[in-house]
Formats: sequence, structure tokens, C-alpha cells
Amino acid sequence: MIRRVVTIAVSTFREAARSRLFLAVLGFALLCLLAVTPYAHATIGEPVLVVKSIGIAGASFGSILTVIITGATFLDKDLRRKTIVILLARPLRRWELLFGRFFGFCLVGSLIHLLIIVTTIGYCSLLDDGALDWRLLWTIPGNISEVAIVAAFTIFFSTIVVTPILNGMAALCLFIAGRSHSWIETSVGSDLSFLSLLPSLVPDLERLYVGNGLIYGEVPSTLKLVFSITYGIEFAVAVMCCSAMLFQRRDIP
Amino acid sequence: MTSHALSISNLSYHYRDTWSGRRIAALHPFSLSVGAGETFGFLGHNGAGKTTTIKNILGLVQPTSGSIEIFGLSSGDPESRRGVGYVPENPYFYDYLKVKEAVRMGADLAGVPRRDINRQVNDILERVGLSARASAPLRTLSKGLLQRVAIAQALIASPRLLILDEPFSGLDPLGRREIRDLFEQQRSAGVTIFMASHILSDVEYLCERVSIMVRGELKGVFSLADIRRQSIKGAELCVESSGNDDHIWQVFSCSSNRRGDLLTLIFNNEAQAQRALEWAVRNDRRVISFNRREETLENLYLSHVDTATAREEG
Repeated sequence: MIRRVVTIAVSTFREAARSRLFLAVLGFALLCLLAVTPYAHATIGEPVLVVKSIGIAGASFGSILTVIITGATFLDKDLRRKTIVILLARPLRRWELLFGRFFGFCLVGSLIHLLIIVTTIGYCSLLDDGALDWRLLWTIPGNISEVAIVAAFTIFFSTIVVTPILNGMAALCLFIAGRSHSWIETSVGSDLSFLSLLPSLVPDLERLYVGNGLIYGEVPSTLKLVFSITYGIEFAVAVMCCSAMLFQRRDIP
Repeated sequence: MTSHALSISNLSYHYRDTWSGRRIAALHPFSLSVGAGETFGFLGHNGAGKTTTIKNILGLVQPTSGSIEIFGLSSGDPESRRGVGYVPENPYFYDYLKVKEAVRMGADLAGVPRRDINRQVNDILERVGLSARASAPLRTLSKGLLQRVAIAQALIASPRLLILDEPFSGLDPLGRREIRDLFEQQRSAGVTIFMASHILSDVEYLCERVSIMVRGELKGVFSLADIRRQSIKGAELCVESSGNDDHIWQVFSCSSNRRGDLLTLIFNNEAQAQRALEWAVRNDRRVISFNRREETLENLYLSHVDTATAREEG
């Protein structure tokens, strides 16, 4: 079972690595860092803070965007090109296929995040007389959880939505809603209407983002990191189980 | 222990039309079994339901009714596909993979022991003639070569049942012969082969039994040995003659066909044909040929397809 899941995950990672998406996202992040430098120097205070802020936000958004783009198109591509037929003709369970994809997307997203963060650290050290701020790596656990949740939702939408564009948009909306969780909570109130359920259905991605504090050197507590990882795993597994149940009944045309 | 490699019972499949919402029968209920070690041909025109049947066997779609067992396990259980190799009509692969990676992926999913993978992958690539292209990206290969990759990944796990959906499509004559020989080796090794095709010569060459599917309906299952045994349906006599002999068909109760100086007499009865041959020799007609008329798989197949078409048009 594990071997089959790993095989699919490796194949998913290989696909992303061989496509130009990786390079495009990294190139875009680097371009953002370069573009923000003159602006950073024009600000009052520490210009490095602005670069760090852009780097962390770019790493987070770049990884999520990669996951949404690759995740929203995978099932549609598999069905259209019929590559799924070759896979499912093997003793591969459908949930194994979905979980393999899920881990592949998480790996791709996390690697993108790591690369952008390391690039940011390196670039900031150039601006800051060679001082390497490795504390930025503390964004990784929260980002993995965030990537896992968004990947799980993207796969979930793939199993119910036909068009990849609609699927991608739904996943992007979910990401934005997740990052606006506290606003949703205060807006919907606490009556017993359907809307009041919204904060429970939408993942609280705000809690997973530790970038704002890290810029000022605030390292998140161990408790917060453990919470981030547990929250991400729980939410992602729950969504993936729903996806697996839906996909199990689907006919492969 | 079951002696059937594949057992289909009362299988039917309906799908819903996207626009009208109407349920359309792609497969009418039918039963079929393929013995272990047997080579079985699944014949049918385009759209007859061959690929839909295969999708049901592989668990890609849920049957509307009936059940399918592969070596005694329900097709709904992924474990039933452990001993199955599948070659699709069109080779579907991830084009970012290289030849060796695609075959290796198939081996990993089929559970080939890790320590044997490299050896088995190299061995199978050698057998299908792809060793020299092991590192080539799949997107650079022709359809014929992709078909070989599909065959390699189907054979990699030493399957007990090979499901072939138009396996020779896209192959040149030489490649066709090589792949046919490969399947023949599998047959000799006791592998059960279930081959869907509309290329009758390949089916006739490889298979022991055939079934004919017409518009989702199974028309029958036939043994090719029986067809050959019961095939003599008369004879055909071709003589050189002038127009005076045209009435002769009435004498011998046969049908005739003239092309220039050549008169062909077609007999359903061999004794009558023998009498006609004696008549021709006696009357100094030059005999061009005298052949037995045999029932071929093609005739059998066409008769079923034609009957169904006529019934539908009528």
C-alpha cells in the first residue's frame, strides 16, 4: 500500500519538477525580491524587513498557487488523456491514487516554499552585511499544514467539479477565505443559521501563518507549531477521506 | 480453486446521456467465461461494447447488473488485478516519463519485488525491442513504439491474465509479427489471453475461442477448432467456357458467376461439385480451379453483424 502511494507521489513530483512551473514560480519570486529592493531602501527603518516580508508572503503564495494549479488540473488531465486507465488497471486502490497525488502536491508545494525562503534568506544576507536569518525557516511547519489543507481541498473539488478552472477558482477562494478566517468569524455572528457554520467548514489558515511575527524575530512557540501540524493533518485527512469516498463511486469514462 | 481465469455473469452496463438524461444500454446482459490458459478473442465492430466490457473487467466502471470474477476474485476488489496485464487500444502514458521510468512505475504498482525490478525492466525492454530507447522520453516516441511500451508495462509483472484491447493498432507489419510472437510465447507459458479486436486475422491466428459482440449484445461464443472442423460448406469450380454453358447452374443446382471467359460455379454440396467437375473434364472445358469453400471467421463475423444491421434497418 505504502509503496503504491509513494510511487504515485514520486510520479506527481517528477511531473512538476519536469514542467516549467517550478522554474516559473521561483523566477517570479526572485523577480519580486529584486523589484521590492529599491522600494525597501526608500522606506524608513530597516529595508531588510520589507524584503523578508515579501519573501515570506511570496513563499507562502507561490507554494499555494503551485499546488492549486497542479492539483486543479490533475484529474481532468488524467481523465482526458486516459492515463488514469493504465494506473487503475493495476492493483491500485482509488484512494491510494488520491493520497499519492496529495503527498506529491504537498512535496512540490513545500519544496517551492523552502526554495523561496532559502533564496530570501540568502538575498537578505546580501542586504544585511552577510547576516543569515535562519529563523525564517520556522515558517515551514505552518506552510506544510497550509499546503496540505489546500491540496486536500483542491483534490476534493477535482472529484466533484468537472472543469479545472472552476476547481482552481474554488480552491483559491477557499485559500482566501481561510486567510480571512477571523473576519468571517466576526462577520457571521453566532446565531444558529447556516452561515454560522461557515467558520467551522472553512479552515483557519490565519493561525498557520507565522510570517508577520517572524519578520520581527518572534519565533513561534513549540505549542503553536504542534498545533499547526496537528490542525493541518486533521483537516487534510478529513477532506481527503471525503474525496476518496466520492471518487470511489465515479465511473472512469 | 477456480479453473476460470475470467468469469462474467449477466453483465450489463447502462450510462446516462449527458443532455437528455436518458439511460442508454451500452451492454445488454451477457455471460462469458474464459478458462485458465485459454486465448480468447472478443470480436466486435467499433462501438460494439468491447472496450466497455474491458472497463467493467478492470473495475473502471460499475456494472449496472451482474458480476465479474478474475481468478475467483470480484473485479471490484483491486487485488483481482494483481495478476492482470492490460494493453489499451491507445497507449496512454505520462509524456514527462522516460521509457524505463514508465515500465518501472508499472512494476512498482504491480508489486514486483524491489530487488528484481531493474533486472525485470531491462529484460522486458529487451524482449519488446526497446532497450536502445530506454532513456527516451515517451513524448518523442511514435505510436508503434508507445504500443510496445504499453506491452512492456503489461508484461512486467508476469501476469496470469493478459487483457489486450486492439493490441496491434499502430504497429507496422514487422512489429506486428514480433508482438504476435511475444503473445504466442505468453500463451505457451500458460498465460490466459483475452483479446478484443476487430482484426480477424490476428484473432484467428492467436485464439482458441471467440465471441462476437454486436451493438452491446453477445451474439455467441465459438470455438475456432469447431469452425474449422465444420467449415466445409461446398466447393467452387472455375472453368473456361463460352456463353453456352451459362445454363449449367440449373443442372447442378448451384449459383454461377461469369467474368469474361471464366465461369465460376458455387456449390453448397460437395457431391454436386464433384459431378460438375466430371462434366467439365468430360466436355473438354479447361478447369482453372476447383476449391473447397470454407466457413471462415470472417464469414461468421460478418453474418452476425449483417443480420443485426438488417434487423435494425428492417
